[in-house]
Amino acid sequence: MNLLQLSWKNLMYKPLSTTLSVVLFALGVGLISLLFLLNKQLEENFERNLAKIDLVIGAKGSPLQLILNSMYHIDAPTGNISLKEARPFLNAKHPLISRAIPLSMGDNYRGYRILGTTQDIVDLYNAEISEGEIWEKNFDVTIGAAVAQQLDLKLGDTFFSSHGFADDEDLVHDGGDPFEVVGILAPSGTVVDQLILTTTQTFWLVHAHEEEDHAGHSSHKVVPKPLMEEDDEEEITSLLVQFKGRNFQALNMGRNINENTDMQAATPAIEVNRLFSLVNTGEQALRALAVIIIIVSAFSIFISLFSSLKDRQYELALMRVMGGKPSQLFVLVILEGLLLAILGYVIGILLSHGGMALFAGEIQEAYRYNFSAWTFLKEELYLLIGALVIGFLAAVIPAVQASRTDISETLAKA
Amino acid sequence: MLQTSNLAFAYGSAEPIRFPDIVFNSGEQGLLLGESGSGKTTLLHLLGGLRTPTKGKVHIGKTVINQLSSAKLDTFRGQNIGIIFQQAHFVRSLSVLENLKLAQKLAGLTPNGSRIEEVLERLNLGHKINASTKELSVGEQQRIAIARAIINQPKLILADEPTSALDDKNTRQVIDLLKQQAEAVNATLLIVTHDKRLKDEFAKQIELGQ
Repeated sequence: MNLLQLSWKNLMYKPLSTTLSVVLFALGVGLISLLFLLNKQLEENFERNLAKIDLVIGAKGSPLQLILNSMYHIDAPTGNISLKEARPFLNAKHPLISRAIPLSMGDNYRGYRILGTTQDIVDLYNAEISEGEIWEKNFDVTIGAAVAQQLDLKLGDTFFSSHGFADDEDLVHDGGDPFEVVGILAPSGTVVDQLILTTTQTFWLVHAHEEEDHAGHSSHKVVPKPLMEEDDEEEITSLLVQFKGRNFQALNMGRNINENTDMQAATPAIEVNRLFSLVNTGEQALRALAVIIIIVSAFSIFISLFSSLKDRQYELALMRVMGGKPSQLFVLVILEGLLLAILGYVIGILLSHGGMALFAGEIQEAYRYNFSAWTFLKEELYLLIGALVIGFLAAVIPAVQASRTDISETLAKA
Repeated sequence: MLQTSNLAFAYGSAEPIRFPDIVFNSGEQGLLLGESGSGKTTLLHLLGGLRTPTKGKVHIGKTVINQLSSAKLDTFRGQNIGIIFQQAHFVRSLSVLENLKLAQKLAGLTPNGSRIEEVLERLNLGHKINASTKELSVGEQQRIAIARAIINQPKLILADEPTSALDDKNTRQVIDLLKQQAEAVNATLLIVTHDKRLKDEFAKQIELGQ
């Protein structure tokens, strides 16, 4: 029967007040840990998907929306731009641009976005083929790892796309050519895991087909012409641009586009920082709330220890009679405070990670990211140290009180 | 074994209470009698090292306990003095066995389950070993308190009104047990009481407050 066991038994002897203290503490810790987890993973995902893109060019509108749409695939497009306007940037001989990748979007298959683009995008996100090959012909698709896994798609499977970004059976583009899976990408941890990739021309064909007479069309499954040779009137959604070097002219390009064309150019780093500062305000409020909960729980630990001391005065005096030293009584009460804090911490961490595991599916759908619920952060170790400090501080006054128990007077009173 | 000299104790600035010198040999048993307010309990606390006297000395064996440091006194008390109070109190979150183990542990000794079983068997309480102390009757509680007082084989057993809350039958039992168990470990037994039922039980009697 050592002091640790005794302090544990004492806590279990008062299950209600112990539960109250632990639950309050767990809520505070859980909320803080959840904020850490969300923040860390969101930031990581946002940064991983920056993919060294220097500029995004698209239709005029909100620059943040353009970035969210073209880089993170979580918002609607700002509109389309004509190939005529986009063509100068697609020119391989452009003096400032090392790579420009066209994006066409607006269709999905069972909630996963179909992206009409060029093969460069695979390289941009450092993705690799795991099965089959990269698409070449119209209506051939190469799909991200998460798409293959979630929709159980295999090489050779075919499907029809539907219009928009939500899974809606009434909007299926049927009657034309079906899409065929020719390749599956290995998981890259980036947004391409969640995308279905095909040629830009496929988009034009799907939508042109809608207006065409259904009868007697021929198959479009051919390798398309390079975009540079396509008609001026065709449209794409946006362009992802990488510069050759970050020189003055390159940095000025965005401003030139915004001032002199019907398109807009947005810089990912600036917009992502703006987004983080927006999110931060809310996060700070939540963090303050969590801190308040923890302070309240520290008071609850203090009060429950302090009030239990009154009931236990005789018990403590008795322990002194049996040979217990004041320091042992001090340690006993401190251990009770620390145990409450550790219990609260463990339950709080389980709550936050369990919550992440539970909502990972929904978060993934909303943000197009794979959240991992069971990675633990360095910050959570600091949180443990903080929890122990709070447990200690809440227990220190009751513990001093316990160690000062006057044996003779307490026993004479009883 | 137990010897006091010129013992006096003052509560605050009040007139100090002076106590007669007491001498008990090893294994000797006796009563400490006196009216309420005569300082019986104060004397018992002085003998048990629960209070420090204002004047005088308490010898137990070769040790002058009121000259020990506080930590040494705690350990000395745990190992050498068993105290029984008017009402038995226990660490309520622990079972009978755990309470007795705690008594061994706090005295700086290694918890010894077989010694506990043996003592409880002798007190006819073997079947209560895993009981919660709340489930015990008052008589049983007082017997467990005796078990706790003798568990570390003390040199001195002090009892403060051990029978005043008990009926005749339980009083008989508790007194017999106290005598037997003190004899079994050859401890000096000193009972503070004003219980008339005990007067004929002990030859040695010290009257306070005359």
